[in-house]
Amino acid sequence: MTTGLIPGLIPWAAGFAALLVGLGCIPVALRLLAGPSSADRAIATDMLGLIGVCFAALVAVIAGHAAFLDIAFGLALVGFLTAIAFARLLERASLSPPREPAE
Amino acid sequence: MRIAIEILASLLLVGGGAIVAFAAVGVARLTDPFMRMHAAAKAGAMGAGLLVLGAGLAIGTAGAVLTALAAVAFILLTAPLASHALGRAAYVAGAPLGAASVADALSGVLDRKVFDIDPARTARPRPARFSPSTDPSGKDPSMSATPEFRWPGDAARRGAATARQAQAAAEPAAIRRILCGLVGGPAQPAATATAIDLARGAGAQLVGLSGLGQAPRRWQGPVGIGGAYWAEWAEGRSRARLRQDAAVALQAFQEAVAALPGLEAEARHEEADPRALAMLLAGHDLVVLPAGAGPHGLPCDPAEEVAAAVARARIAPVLRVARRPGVVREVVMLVGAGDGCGALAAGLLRSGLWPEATVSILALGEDRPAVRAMADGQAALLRAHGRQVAMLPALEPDFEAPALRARIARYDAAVMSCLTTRQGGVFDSLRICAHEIAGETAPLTLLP
Repeated sequence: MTTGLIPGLIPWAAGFAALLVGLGCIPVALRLLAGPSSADRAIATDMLGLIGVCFAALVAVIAGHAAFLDIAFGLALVGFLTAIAFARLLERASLSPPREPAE
Repeated sequence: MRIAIEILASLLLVGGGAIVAFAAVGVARLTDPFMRMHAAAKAGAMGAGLLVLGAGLAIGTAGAVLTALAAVAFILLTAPLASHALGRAAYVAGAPLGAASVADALSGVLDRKVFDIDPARTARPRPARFSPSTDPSGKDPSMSATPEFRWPGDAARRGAATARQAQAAAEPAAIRRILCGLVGGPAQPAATATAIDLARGAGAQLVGLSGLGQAPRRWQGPVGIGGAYWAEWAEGRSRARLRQDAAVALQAFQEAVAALPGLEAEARHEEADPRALAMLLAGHDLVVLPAGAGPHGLPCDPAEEVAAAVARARIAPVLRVARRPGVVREVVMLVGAGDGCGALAAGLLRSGLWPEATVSILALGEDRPAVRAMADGQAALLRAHGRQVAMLPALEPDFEAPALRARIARYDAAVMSCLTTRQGGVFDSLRICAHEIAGETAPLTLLP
């Protein structure tokens, strides 16, 4: 646990930020459920990935484990790859009609 | 030093969290996928970056700060890439552009699927609390964009269409969508009838739009002070009059359309100022509007008309109808020195209207060689496309209004670039304007 010169400032700030980010989960989840297009859902998933990065960083502060910052880094990496994969999937699914493989 | 870093870290943590929360609200509340993506990409990346940086500073060891810096750099590098890929995919998948979009710069560049919600998903009644919509009518605002009209088998025609477009810009395109403005006024029945005739003749889709020319209501403040009260009162009265006219015209339109089962038609009501609305409805090939209908539901000067405002936006050619025409055999084209006069012939050819009619070109102002050359060029273009062209003797600068009216009275339609050339001012109101006389005299006016 980080104990700074001003006691309780950083845990308080981290807790408040966690509250804000946690409240932010709700509208994103609603958008994820409501859609209406799959692009909306992909965007909401991307945003949830960013929120996951934020949570990992906040856990690093609150629990005092610097290793959680590495987890935040990894989550950001996975989120980027997820977004790219969703984009490719959407584009491919909407563009090419199912074709018979050439002989 | 340590205290300053702690305070900075706390500020970064709380500020980052707040920005992420704003981004989340934006993802839920904005009206189309592109705007939502913009909230998630920019605000989300900035909030997460600040928060991770704050976390690194709060822990305070060199390794934590370095890891946090690396994570921030990574987020800043990848967020634009991810959002670009997602936006492109959303466009290709046919996600609707929201009502705030004014133009579709990618139309024709990228292939675009027609947006279609899975019917199995929408058939299930959705609980009201899951809908992030705040629209009291219960309509999802993301669904209110105009769906793009496509012919069946459009993908096969697409390549041929673009090739043809590149080959000759003046080739007549088939009219596929006609917008009929229902704004009221004495010429509205004639305009509606003309639009229906055109749509039946061309097999086009007809959209009746009421409320054109009406700006959305603005917030005036809690109490109107002084003249503001009366301004609001007058605005409310003109709005009520305009809505009543629009309702009458809409009912007449729906009755007329219901009597013709073969016609593909729909009616809408939108209130926006003409320029924004014209840009919103860019998919239409022709806009039919009645003559003499002003933005306040009263007759007004040609410069103030809804038709003039829509034509000035230069999105679609405007056909202004004063009386219902018979067969159009004689068309007069007014070529002056103003903007857009050089494109009149190309606009007439591209619109595909009146292919059998004889076009008479009337140049305004003999003494200007540029106008003369422009008129000759347009005649050559029309002749090259097989139209019959007659050059009229040019109009003298000191012409008389009755004489011009008598000359124009034999034509069924007029093609010109604007409804008036008056700029305003005291002495300008004394001038006789050839465009205004032609607009009053000819039953049809095409403003390409």
